[in-house]
Amino acid sequence: MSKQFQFKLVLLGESAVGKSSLVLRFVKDQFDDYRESTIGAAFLTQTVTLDDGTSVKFEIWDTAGQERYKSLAPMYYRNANCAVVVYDITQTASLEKAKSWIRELQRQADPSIVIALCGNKADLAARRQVTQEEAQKYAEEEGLMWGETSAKTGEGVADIFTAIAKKLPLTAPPSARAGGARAGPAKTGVDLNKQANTQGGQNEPCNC
Amino acid sequence: MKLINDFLNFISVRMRECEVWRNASDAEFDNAMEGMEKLVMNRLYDFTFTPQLVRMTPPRPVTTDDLERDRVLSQRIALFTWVEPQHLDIPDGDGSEGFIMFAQQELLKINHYKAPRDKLICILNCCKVIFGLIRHLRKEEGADTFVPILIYVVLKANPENLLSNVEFINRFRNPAKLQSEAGYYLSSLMGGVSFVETMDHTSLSNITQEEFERNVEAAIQSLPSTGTQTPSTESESPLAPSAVNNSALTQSPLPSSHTGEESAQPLALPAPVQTISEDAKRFLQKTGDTISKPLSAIGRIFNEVLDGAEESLANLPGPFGLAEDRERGVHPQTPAAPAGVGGGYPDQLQTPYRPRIRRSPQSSQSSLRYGSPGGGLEETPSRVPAPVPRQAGGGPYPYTNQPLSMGPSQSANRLQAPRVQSLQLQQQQQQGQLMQGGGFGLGQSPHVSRTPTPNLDLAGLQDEIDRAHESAASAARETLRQIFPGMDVEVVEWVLEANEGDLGRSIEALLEMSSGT
Repeated sequence: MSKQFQFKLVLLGESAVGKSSLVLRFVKDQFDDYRESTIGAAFLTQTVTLDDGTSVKFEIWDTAGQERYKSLAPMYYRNANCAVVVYDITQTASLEKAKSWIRELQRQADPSIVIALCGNKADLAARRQVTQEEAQKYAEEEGLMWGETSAKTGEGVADIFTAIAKKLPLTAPPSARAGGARAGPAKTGVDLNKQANTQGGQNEPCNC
Repeated sequence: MKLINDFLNFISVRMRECEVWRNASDAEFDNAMEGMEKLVMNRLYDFTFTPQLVRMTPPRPVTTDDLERDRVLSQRIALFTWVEPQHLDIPDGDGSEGFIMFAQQELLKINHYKAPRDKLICILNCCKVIFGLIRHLRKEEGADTFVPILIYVVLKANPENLLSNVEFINRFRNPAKLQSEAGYYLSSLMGGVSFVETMDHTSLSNITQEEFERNVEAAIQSLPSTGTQTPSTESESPLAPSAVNNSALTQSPLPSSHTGEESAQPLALPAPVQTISEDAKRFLQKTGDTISKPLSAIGRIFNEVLDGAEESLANLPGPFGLAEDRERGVHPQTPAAPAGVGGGYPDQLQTPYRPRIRRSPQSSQSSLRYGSPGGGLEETPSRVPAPVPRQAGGGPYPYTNQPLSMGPSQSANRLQAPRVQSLQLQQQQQQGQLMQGGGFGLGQSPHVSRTPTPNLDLAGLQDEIDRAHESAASAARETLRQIFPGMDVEVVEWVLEANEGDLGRSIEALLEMSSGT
């Protein structure tokens, strides 16, 4: 049986860089099934199947990018296995903001966290302010993954998530944070569908 | 606290072994675990939910700072009643009001449930409504839009003991269930709370420091004078800014240890409510003996709503806030009233004299002891369904509530109809019958979606309700039209009809329709 992994991925970046669009593209595009989200699009899941049959399920935690909500971020990246920090290639300032996120992650988050720097809006290359070389050089210096994406066209979106998926199981134990004293039967991670189903079903899940 | 948690863990492990031993499927086992958590936490509620500790007689020692944090947070929120959507860059649009109000309702229900799962679901429902708003406004769905609205809803709802509730969930909800989506939204709520705790003029838009300070100053002035005094006032400030019912700030201290003595409050309203509640509980328990299994589930729901009734009344701002105190002061006399229906129940009649502790036993009765108390066979099972929808928010069978309209409810009507009626109307006006809708379906467990409001119905409001029902129906249609202006009117009405007039479920259904395109 192929291995299954589940990881928490936190999405950071200034507002208006297209964080939400990026992840929506990722979640909606690759598979038709977009029923994972039972509440709203701030939390989404998507499974990537690697060549060797390993499947990696991302729980994607979106964050509010506005400066005023910066203080909320630790709530979100706590226990995250990986982070995608998004900037807008047409806005130099957004890269600076991304860098500050990365510094914070390196300082505060789990030391084993895999960080990917992602230049979004690659379709707007004509208005580019951040060169690929510049971003890539920074990423290499900091030991980050890097890629450019276009949430609009879908270009590069799956690539970056797949790349993270490939890197993850090697660097982080599968679902290390799953469980807890009262966890249910041992299984990899938590099945969102099941939770949704039990709640959605007419039969009351045991009130006794 | 630690002890209790260890105990819970221990129980769960035992339970797991047991269930595994019986070869339960994963799903079944999951349900069993949920049930166990709910059972244990319902019964231990008085020992585990911090606000309950001080309500005990005598008060139990509090080992956390939850209450202090609750007090500080709600006072802080009270200073920000003036915050408007624009200050948080929340886009406004037609129908936003309804969504925001509805989200507040969902969040406020958190105090009506005991089990961590149910409390959590209140939060998730609130978030779901917020996403309904985002979809309605055709904004980008994501945290950038969601978080500000969530904060705004928290500010406007100012649920009592919010931090205690959140901590309660964190402590006692199965950790495996606190990951993924639920974890995300709980984290978001905690983030929103921390935002409010540190909010200043730099964290708001469209406002200068001077304006900010002036508004806060004005808010301080308008707070009840007791607002900043001793810890004993902790229960007052949460009530202040509630958007649910903007009635004048009323002194409504939580029932503290000295119970009966405080009943000399100016407002003498809720005693009959309690009478009916008790009576209805007995009725339900009684009928629970005779009805078949599916109905017992309904009975369970019914009881649970009732169970939360005392609290919900206590939590309501304004006159109803006195419910618990009244309940205690009046209790010795009240059993006379329900005797008409509760005939053969001397044992039951006596239990209410233990105000606090009573709750756990009651809830456990409701879920466990269906067969125990005998008698009551004269009530036919067929009557049982009637009170439930009545309870559940003017639901499917609004006109058939005969059993409860007999006996004590009549006297209740006599006693308090005018007052309750005005409140009812007030709510209708304010909320466009949002609360009437009650069940925001979400396809989740039915009892979760019940609003506290219908407890008013129990107070012998049948007549009022019946009369109001017509206007409610049209108000519901109006609300839906407001929320879904793009939706074909006939479709809206059809959906409303399909959901038997339940506004909440109708909104849910329409949301799915509109988001599915």
